[in-house]
Amino acid sequence: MPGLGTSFGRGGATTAQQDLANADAILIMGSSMAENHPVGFQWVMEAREGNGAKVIHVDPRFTRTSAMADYWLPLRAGSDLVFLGAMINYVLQNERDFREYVVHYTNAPTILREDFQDTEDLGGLFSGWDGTQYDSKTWLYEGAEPKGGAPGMKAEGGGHAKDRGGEAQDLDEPRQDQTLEHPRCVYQVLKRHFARYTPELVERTCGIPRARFLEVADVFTRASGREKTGAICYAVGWTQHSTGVQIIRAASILQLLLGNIGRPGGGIMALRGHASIQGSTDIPTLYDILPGYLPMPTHGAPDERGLTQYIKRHRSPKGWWWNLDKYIVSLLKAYYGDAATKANDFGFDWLPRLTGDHSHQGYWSEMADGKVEGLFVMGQNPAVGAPNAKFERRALQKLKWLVVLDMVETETATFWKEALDSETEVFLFPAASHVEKEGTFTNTQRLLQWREKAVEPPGDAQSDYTFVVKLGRLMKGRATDRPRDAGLRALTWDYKDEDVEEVLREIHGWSEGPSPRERGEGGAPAPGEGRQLPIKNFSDLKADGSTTCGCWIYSGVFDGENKAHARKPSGRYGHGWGYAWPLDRRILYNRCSAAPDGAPWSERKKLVWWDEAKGEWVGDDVADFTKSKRPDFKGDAEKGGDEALPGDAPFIMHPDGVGWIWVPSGLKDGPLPAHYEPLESNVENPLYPSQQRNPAALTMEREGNEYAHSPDPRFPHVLTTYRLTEHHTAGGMSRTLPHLAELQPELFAEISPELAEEAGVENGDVVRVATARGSITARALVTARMPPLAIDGRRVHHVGLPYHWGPNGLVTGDVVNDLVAMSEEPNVRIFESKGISCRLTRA
Amino acid sequence: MGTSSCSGKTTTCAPSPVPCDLVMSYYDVPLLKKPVWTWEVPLYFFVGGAAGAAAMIGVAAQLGGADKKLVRDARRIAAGGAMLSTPLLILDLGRPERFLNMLRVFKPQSPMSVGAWTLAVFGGASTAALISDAAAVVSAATGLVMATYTGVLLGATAIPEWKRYAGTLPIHFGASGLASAASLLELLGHNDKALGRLASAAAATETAIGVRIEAKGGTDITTRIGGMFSGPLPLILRLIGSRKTRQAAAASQLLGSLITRIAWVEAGKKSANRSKP
Amino acid sequence: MTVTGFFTDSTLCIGCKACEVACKEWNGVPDDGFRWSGKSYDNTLALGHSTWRHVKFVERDPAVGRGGNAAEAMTWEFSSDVCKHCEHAGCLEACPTGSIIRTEFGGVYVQPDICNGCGYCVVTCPFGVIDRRPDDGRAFKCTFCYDRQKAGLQPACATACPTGSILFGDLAQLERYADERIARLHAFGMTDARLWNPKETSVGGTHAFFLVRGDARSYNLPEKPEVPAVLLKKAWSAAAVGAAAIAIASLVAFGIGHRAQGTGHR
Repeated sequence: MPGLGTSFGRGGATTAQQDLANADAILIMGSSMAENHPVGFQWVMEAREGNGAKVIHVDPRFTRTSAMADYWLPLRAGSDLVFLGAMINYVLQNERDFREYVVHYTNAPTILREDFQDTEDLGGLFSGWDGTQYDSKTWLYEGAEPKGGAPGMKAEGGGHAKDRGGEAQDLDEPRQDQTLEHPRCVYQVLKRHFARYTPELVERTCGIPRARFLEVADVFTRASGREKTGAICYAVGWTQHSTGVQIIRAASILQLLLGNIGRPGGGIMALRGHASIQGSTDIPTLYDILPGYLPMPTHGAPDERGLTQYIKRHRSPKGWWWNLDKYIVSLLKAYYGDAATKANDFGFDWLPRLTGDHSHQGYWSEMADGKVEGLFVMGQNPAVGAPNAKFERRALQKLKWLVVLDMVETETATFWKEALDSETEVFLFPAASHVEKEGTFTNTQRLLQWREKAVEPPGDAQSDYTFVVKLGRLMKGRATDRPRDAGLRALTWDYKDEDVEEVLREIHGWSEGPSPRERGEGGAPAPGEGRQLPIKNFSDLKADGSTTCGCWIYSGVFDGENKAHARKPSGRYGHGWGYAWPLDRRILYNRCSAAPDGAPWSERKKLVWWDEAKGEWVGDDVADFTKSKRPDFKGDAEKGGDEALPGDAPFIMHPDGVGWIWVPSGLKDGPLPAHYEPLESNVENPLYPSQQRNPAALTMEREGNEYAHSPDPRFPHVLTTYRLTEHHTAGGMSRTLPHLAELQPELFAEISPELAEEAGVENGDVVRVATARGSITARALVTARMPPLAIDGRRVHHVGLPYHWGPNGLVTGDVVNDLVAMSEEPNVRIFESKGISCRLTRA
Repeated sequence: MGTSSCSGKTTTCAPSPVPCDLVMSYYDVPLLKKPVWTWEVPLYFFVGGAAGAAAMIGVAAQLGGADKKLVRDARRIAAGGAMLSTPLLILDLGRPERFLNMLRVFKPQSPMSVGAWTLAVFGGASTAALISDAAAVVSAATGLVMATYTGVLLGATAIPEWKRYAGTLPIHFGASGLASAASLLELLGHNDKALGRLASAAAATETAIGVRIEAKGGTDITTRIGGMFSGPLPLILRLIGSRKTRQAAAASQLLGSLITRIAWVEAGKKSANRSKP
Repeated sequence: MTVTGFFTDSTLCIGCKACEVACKEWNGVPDDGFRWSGKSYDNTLALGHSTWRHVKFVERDPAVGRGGNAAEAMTWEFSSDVCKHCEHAGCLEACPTGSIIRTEFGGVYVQPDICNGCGYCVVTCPFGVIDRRPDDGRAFKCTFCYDRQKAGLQPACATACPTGSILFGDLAQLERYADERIARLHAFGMTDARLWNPKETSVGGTHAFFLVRGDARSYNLPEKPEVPAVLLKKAWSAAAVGAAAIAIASLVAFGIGHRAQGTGHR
């Protein structure tokens, strides 16, 4: 999420899928949306049919999405940044930017420090590289004071929490040049940075003919300006790269230049991998953030030792994150209840601390080293779905115990079948499915939707929720008097076994007030009774310990009633159906849909505008802006936070109130995107020959996780993995169901007729696909939908492998993820599954 | 752009629904479903056809004043054949216990319905004919339908090989039934020359039909073999005219009739598997 | 009661197969086997006793010279097939038990409590739709979601379709809409878009008609389907000739035979 988070302020899709219907052009890249988001794709179709919107699909494979597109550009996997960089360059060279928007709503006019040096000057490195990591000081705005330390730069610092920006610097008014001519203004730096990303380079590196690129660049960049908008949709085809966050950054820059953020039919649609992935970062299953994108404190960090220091360190003087103190204190109250007092920093010291890389691959690596004793696996099947699944299955053998909670007997629960001498004790608990329990999903567009329980779970199956509640109770029962258990003792855990709504109420929050007796109304209430007073939303939260809130961004969802349960949609964006965080805003940053003076840019593209008579922002969406803040408000520098931002600063989370083309802090691999080849590639980095790969990415190279060389004649082909409509991720929920399993009953490798000819393979033959990690077999599906690409005069073949199969279920097959290396993108620590060097042979 | 055609390549790609020779189809997936009938159905065609024709021969023989034993045997073949036909038909049903649903309605537009009712009446009449001359007339009348309707049953379908011969199959099957009835009586020891003439006439008809089918493009090897045993071979044998060759011709026609029925059902299945839109 | 129909617009189908799955879920249809076909993404390949909706994946080779909607590349068209619910339905006319009936909505419906599995409908369907399920013994095909229609609901497939490729409703209205749609696509330059609805043949039109591109045969849709009943006259005439020939031959054979015998005795 840092790609979107640092650019705009929040780590979520800026738009709603329904809004795609309003677009004039839609660029789908790093996603086969029709394939993996078929329901949401209806609005792409609506745009195509209704608006005559041009649909552009850029992908190595001709997929179900390409079949629906007006333009399909096959590109080499891993060259996405060259393509997007060239789009940005095209906009700048041809002055296709929406200048009024760019000047007022982005940091393009902001002037940078003199000591910043670009990749263009340093052969592929930005200034601040110390051989292992960046010090981002030189990336700050001119005149900004660094807060000290190197925020978010250390491995254990994680990356997700750095979405908020602004924590690296304290600045008042950044110096700007609204003519965009100052050589050190972001606009000019950007122009120089991307100058070598040309159509010719696209042809050489991506395999897209120059003329084709220019045609499509023209089509997409015309969806800009007052009358038109264009949207970009992406999914894991962008994120699962060693440069994933920077690819998303490039898209953000492009959309900011075109003025397409916060406007109807614009935006960036981050398509999530499956149900409630957005929810699992909002209320995270991640190791480095607390609910609502509050940073997890780091062990031993001097500036995070106490709550006061933590707040000082992470709060920003201007913009919405000024309120961080209210959110962290309310969260601590939710965790520790009455035990959290001002005297004990509201229990801040009880919070766990980051001690290292505890991301999925980080702890799995430690597991392989025998450093992990036990593991709970819930809602996941890493034995099939995780990178280098073979490595991970082996790591499971080092555990003492493993608890798997699932609806079916997944390969993770049966990993011991390929290691019969494994001494890991495995417990398999039957879990309730999504229709057998209630709760919410937070979908791809931040929409919380309540789910009812349709049927009782069978047999002993229980929901994850019930399991965790009971587990927590058992753990609290075993809490000792030792200091390390103080947090566990203090933790409020009086949940009922099944009342999930109770949790949603706590997430929404409440304030504590005097009980009726305390107000002198007599009676002797039971402890706690009458003390919980309703709040409307996070605006009511306080930092004095009088409010409780489990996740501030969701606060508002239980304003009087369970709004996630609302089922009466109305208007263009379906308000009244579910609840979109924050505050039911469907299109984020929608202040951008009006010009600086508050009037809509055009009648056709109006969404939210200033109503002088009413003295407030009105329109088709809930304004993502303080409702009564006038467009000509200058900002009150005396006050902190939102009030310090002027009435034409739409990106309210950012301390300067604008969209960030340039990210002065918060990213570990640069303030601007730069193209690096995948960790394994047979193509030399044409831009920075001395910097083949992302310097900040981690390869985690070790026995069992080997890499091919770059280049490596042993592995001449490019592997890309993906999913099919018919199956669900690692297959636990689809390989076991006959109606889905029959639709794609066997693992196949998609290859071109040319590659088939070279390998002596016919359609339907069994082929072997090998990488430096190992090899698997699959049936060959020979199709012209997998064209070989001409890269720098060479013919490059892709091999496409969907990864849904494993040894269990009605239909079985080899585990494709055995071929994928564990690796970590620096910011979010995701692995690279697109653009892997492999070899395909006849089996 | 690396897209390319599979034409003229040594490798094959996933078969395109538009093959290089532009014969339109969908990956050569058959348009039609294969008939689900198993061995019971051709055997029923054979038995029912012989029985039906035998009922007619019985009446004709009686009217012509032939040997009473011949009349009796013809009626026995008719009744026996009818009795054998019913279980064969029931066995072939997916839900045999629901056989009586066949008589739930009468649908003249459905050859299967007409056939079911015909078999029902024929079964009763041919059995009654063992003791009643009047019933024998009803038996003969329905027997004529029994001998020929199976050709309609196959012909009036969507199966290419059957519908192509919709106007031929009823006559083909009728002749086949007549040949098998006459031949069976001959093999039972009746040497009434009328039987020989009928069998010869049937063999001649079968030969003519064979020629006609070949002229229309022909069918497969099995129907041809059935045709040989039904047409030219017995015709020649019968022209030679000795008792032995007559017996051989009778056996050939009986066998030919059985092979013919099996062959046509199988040819239908094969053609369904090859069917194109 | 409204006469209803399906209009399947292939240009809006994204090949997600939700219709196939929704149909099976609603109607309790079993799996159709777990065989990988190697034919594009289609592993079901055809309609049948256990597949009542079927999505076809028409992968057209660029060499054929068709500019697709993704220009200068190939095209991959998807189309959800279903029982055509013919105006003159071969299966219905052939069914000897009266199990197959026409419903008040105009659909062709197999009453599962009556079908005895004679298999005659299988060979009389000109589209290869209906088939006998081996382990059950009865013939099955799309029910037009008769139960759902009775309850005022749309069929499961149309309900599940995310892109409006499968439209369900008043047949006459759908036909009017389809004509408009064709005109619109032609105006967009998709000149090979056309309707497949065999009204001119003996089938007499269908309650499920399709918008396809180019030759309908590449979607396994026959150009000129005929209901087998048109052959009845020819076949029964031949049967009459055959029967008469047997009768006359028999009478003549025995007449002549006995006169000859009698002459011999005299």
